[in-house]
Amino acid sequence: MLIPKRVKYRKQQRGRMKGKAIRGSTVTFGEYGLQAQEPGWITNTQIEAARIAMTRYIRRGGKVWVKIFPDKPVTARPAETRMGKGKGAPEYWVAVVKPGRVLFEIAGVPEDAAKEAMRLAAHKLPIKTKFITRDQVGGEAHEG
Amino acid sequence: MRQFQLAAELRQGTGKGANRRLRQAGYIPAVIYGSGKENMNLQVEERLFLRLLREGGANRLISLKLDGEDRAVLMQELQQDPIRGNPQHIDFLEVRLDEEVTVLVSVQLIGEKERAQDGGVISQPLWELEVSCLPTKIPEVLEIDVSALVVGDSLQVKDVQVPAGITIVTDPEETVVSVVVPEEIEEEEEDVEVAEGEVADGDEAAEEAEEDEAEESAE
Repeated sequence: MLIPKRVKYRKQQRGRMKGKAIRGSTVTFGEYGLQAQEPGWITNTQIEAARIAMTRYIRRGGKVWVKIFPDKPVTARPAETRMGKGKGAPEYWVAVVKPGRVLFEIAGVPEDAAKEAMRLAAHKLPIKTKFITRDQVGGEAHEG
Repeated sequence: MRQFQLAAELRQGTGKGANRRLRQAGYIPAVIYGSGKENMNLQVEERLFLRLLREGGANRLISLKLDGEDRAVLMQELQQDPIRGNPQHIDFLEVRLDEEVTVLVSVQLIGEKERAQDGGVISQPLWELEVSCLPTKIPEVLEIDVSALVVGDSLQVKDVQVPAGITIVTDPEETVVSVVVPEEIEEEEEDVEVAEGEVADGDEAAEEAEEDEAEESAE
């Protein structure tokens, strides 16, 4: 599971997700990519589930790149506790994703296999995504 | 070589508001510079520009018709919307036809189907090569034949055959394409990793909870 090795501060404020992803919005390593169409937090377990879904489908051959990293800690209060007493304990990690961000890339497999692998991965994610190819304008949208 | 043509007009307004109105009206804001001339703000009809892109004029010499005069330009930069992909702004670089330019040309692999079925997969670390040539000689793509490659083989930049008059600027030792044994996916190992991560997380959370409880009881 993806998790930072060391962080300067254990807890963070939530922040806002305004605008579009300017960096990381193109397919750079592979041939095909899965692009976010809306903003959201993607947890490390969701990233791992999506990665496993893709690698299980493509089996041998092909390479998968995970282009996001969950570097934001999210805290939560334990169940049945009263309000107050400070901020809760870090529970999990998320990657902050803005629309346009390429989440995963695949290379070395035919387009239909890449599309199916990305579709399976998209089902593990909490946001709408789109399958894109290298140097392509537009694409097919499907719900994540 | 095919000549790509595009018509452009001078643009009066600048800034966010004017450019947004321009895009709404079906134009793309652009700028032209280079060749020691003053830069000028332009506008290009989106419909014509998209047609030029579809025909493969993205990285080629374009004859830009401006004020009844033809200017030889290259598309230096194309800004696109990160989600929809529609063009937002274009930078045109005016070039002299007798001076060499450095451009990025994409690599196209051929003969993938003819390659021996040895269980290897093609890995392509480089998708574009930087080449130096006259603007009229910019190749559409650089073709690399991979039909003779077997597992363990690789082709470096120095092995790429280019037509006369074209020099490759990219480091000759860089690998363009290689045939590798696909990584075996070991599901069990992955599961162990996940479990470890969860345990580590769980420990941390447990410690936190203990601390909190201790604080609460102290109060």
